[in-house]
Amino acid sequence: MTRDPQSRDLDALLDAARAELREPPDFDPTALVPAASLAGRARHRRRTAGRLAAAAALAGGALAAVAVLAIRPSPAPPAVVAERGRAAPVANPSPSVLDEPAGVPSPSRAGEPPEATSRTTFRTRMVDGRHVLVVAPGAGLAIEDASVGARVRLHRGAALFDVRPLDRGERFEVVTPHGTVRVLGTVFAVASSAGGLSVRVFEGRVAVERAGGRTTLRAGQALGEGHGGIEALEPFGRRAAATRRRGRPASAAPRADTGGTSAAAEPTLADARGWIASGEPARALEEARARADGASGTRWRGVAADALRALGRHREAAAAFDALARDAGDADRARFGFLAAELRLRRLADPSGARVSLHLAGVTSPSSPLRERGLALELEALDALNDHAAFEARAAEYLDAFARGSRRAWVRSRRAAHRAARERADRATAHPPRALPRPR
Amino acid sequence: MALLVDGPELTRLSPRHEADRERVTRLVRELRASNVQVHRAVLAELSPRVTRWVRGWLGPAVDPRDATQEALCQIASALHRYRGRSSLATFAHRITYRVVARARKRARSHEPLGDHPLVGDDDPGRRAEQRRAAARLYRHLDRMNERRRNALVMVELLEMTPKEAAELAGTSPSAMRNLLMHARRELRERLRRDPAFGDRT
Repeated sequence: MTRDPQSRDLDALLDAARAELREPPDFDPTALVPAASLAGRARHRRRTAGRLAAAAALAGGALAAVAVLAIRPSPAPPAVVAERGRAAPVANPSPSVLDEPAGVPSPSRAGEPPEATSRTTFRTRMVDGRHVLVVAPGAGLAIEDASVGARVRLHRGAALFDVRPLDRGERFEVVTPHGTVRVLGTVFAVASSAGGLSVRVFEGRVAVERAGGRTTLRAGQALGEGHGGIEALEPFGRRAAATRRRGRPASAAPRADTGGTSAAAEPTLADARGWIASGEPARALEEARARADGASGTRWRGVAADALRALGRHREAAAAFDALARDAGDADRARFGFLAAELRLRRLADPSGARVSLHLAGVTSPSSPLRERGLALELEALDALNDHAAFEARAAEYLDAFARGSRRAWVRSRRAAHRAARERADRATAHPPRALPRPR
Repeated sequence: MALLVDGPELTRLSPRHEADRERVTRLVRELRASNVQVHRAVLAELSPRVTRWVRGWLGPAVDPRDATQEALCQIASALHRYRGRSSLATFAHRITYRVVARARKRARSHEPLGDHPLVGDDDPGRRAEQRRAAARLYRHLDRMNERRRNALVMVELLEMTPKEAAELAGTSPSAMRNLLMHARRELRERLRRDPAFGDRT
């Protein structure tokens, strides 16, 4: 028994989709495990802490504090802190030292993420029972009790800080050998290395004080050269920032700003398309416009046009697709022309404009890969224009070339309607109403 | 630790198999005690599978990384609640599905891009055609009835048996087979109306 064509088409599509799923993803899933494990367990502990606190409050007892993990005190080297040009030797900081155990791999070169192995650990710490630290492998830091809040000394490596809003007069500081970061309730990552200080802000604001002065960074901004620890902490930061904004997407990738350059990787075309698909077309448009004159400019222009369409700016999107069709090579011209025509017909109610887009891009030419779809779209435009003669001509072309095309039933039906309308118009022309006889 | 060494993967242990029951009991105990080693081993086993599920549910048009990470994070925070009533894989798949459902809602919150491919890379050859075909399938899937879509994704794309799919969906195997039949019928009808498909002999 011969199977119907749609069943064969469906099976072909299912085979393609299954084969696509069998291809490996373009990222390593196991690399997500350490971060997910830490974040998941931290989430569980926070929920538990919340429930305990609520239970204690209900019982009328004291607030329950959650002790997070075992602490291994070890002597810390004296740290020299440069703060606004003053160097103050600090001896023997408080015993809350959180050095990573020996043997855990550290980021080997700036800009490279730490190697994800079964021995790679990201540690989560609580400060004052409210603020959360995620410490990248290889980092060394100490938490001190300062009189006006919390102070963390980051000797080396990177850590992420999720700082709850502070009370009036309260401060949270991260002190490094190269400068101090002061915060007012925010999510940010700090890395300290021999090369200097790097800061990346995901939410809120921080003030960075160095020998050269003070810089304020807002969400999305960064300072200093990239550090592998910071890249590895990015998922935590984005997630925390998104949580603070109650489910809105995480903040944009940090960009270079005053005082330094950011080593954040440039978004790719796939990233930008993903932003469109996930509801951030404005972000994709901004990036695409910035990249339209560089390498892969045509593809970025295509992303910009798609983003405009997703934003509902149909006229601009249609114009962008038309421009792309003009500039594109043979392989893409028809596709861009079709996209422009579709927008003009279906969104802008401009069937004449749609026909122009189709013809300029050669969508309906015999060699076009989109000929059937182009002819079908042009027939819709001619139908809207009520152009009987042109509809008849194009319908004949469609049915001749695509006798079993999927729009054939519609084309035949509308062709019959246009023929009937044309015959009525012809009869009215051939036999005009007779003049009334003159009265005798 | 013996639990991590003996026998089949932790995530495949099933309370329905008598041989697995003792290990399931030990697994539940270790997870409730937040044993870090077991926790990590479970997540490491699950991560490729969660990635595949996310890709299968979302399709090629949506970057699976964020959803995969969120799913793993939620699974990690829920492992202490695992009671051994189903396999860990089923437990994790349910959580993954909820994450994916939210991700799909976010992806639908903007204007749909219509029945044509996004402007994309011109990868030559087989892989490009395969990817385009997969994207076309998902565009039709995303417009289908949700229950039928889910049935088709689970059985045809994620290659689960109707029984496994029924367990995940909380329905019976016969109801699942019925959904599948209606899903294929609906998809065939959509393909018939898709102007991209001329009739092929």
